Amino acid sequence: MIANTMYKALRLPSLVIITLFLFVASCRNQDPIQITDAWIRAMPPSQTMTAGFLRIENTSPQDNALVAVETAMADTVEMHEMVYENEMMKMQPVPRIAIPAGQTAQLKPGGYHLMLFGLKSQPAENDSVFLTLYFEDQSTRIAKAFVRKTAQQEPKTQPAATE
Amino acid sequence: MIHFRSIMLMLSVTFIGGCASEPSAPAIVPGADIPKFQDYGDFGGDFQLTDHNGEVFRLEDQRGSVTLIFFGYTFCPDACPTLMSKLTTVFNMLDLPEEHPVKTLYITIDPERDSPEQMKEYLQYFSTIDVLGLTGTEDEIDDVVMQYGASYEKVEGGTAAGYLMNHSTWLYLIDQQGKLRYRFRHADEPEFVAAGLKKIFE
Repeated sequence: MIANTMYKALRLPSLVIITLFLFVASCRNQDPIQITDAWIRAMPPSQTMTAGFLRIENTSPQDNALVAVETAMADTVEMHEMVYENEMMKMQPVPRIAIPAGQTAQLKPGGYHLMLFGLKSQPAENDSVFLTLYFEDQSTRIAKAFVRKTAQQEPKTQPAATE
Repeated sequence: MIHFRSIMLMLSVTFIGGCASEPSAPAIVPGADIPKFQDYGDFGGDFQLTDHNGEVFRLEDQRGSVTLIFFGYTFCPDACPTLMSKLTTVFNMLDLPEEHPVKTLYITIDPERDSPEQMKEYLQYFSTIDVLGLTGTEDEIDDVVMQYGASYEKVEGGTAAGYLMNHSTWLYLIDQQGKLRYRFRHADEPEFVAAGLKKIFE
């Protein structure tokens, strides 16, 4: 009897909790494209260009790619890659940056990065800049990038994305 | 690509870290690989360029100092700040006494964009170490590039930048007599570069 009453009393709240939990959980996993660590290199005032960096994680089962980037602060944003070959450093534009299913594309110094040309003004350290990212699946994301002089301490070994 | 030397270095770091209770402040790892100085024959030697203050610079005036030289260009917001941050790590590891001066020279391979003023602003902005920017006419730069077995190529078009420069990434170590003793590779760890500087003062 008592157990039965308690069961009834608990049933409603627990349903609410479970529903809430599912709702929150689904929100967390809603966007299969996760953008983190977006930053722009602070440059001396007379420079009219700078570089941008970010991590893009693709948790979906579909391959995707970054195909274009825009920002209000620059005339043009290009995607570039830096290649070291036989002790030569080559910087060259690329048309897309692949983000295969379940993988993370790292745009970081020494590798893929964004080049922002024709800056309206050079952003100051700790400012933030909005980047519009266009993906191959026709979707778009907005990323907020902070302006910094150097990369934040980069862990020597990047732990595998476990989330 | 991780080459063999880095792997050895990582292994030695792991090994020493496992058993010693030394403070973990940046320091040259005992037993780490040390550059083997080489004879580069006719490569290297004296040159004259214009420094970022607009003054004449002659390498021969640096006798008695150890000199590090690298080539780059300021229209590069990626690799060059990274190299300077690496050199900062190197100097912090060494904590060299005043009687062991090291001069760092940054020679532009893009004199068209890199005026002395441009280089000064860029270097003062990024560098936490004392780096002297050097520029000159294209011919003057080309002479130094060839002298040191460096290389670069201008790649025009395909970018809003107008042109981009591909260039070699060697870091040259010059001894107190002005002789080229070692070329560090881009992938060399700060520990290895620091070991080379330490060795040259021994």
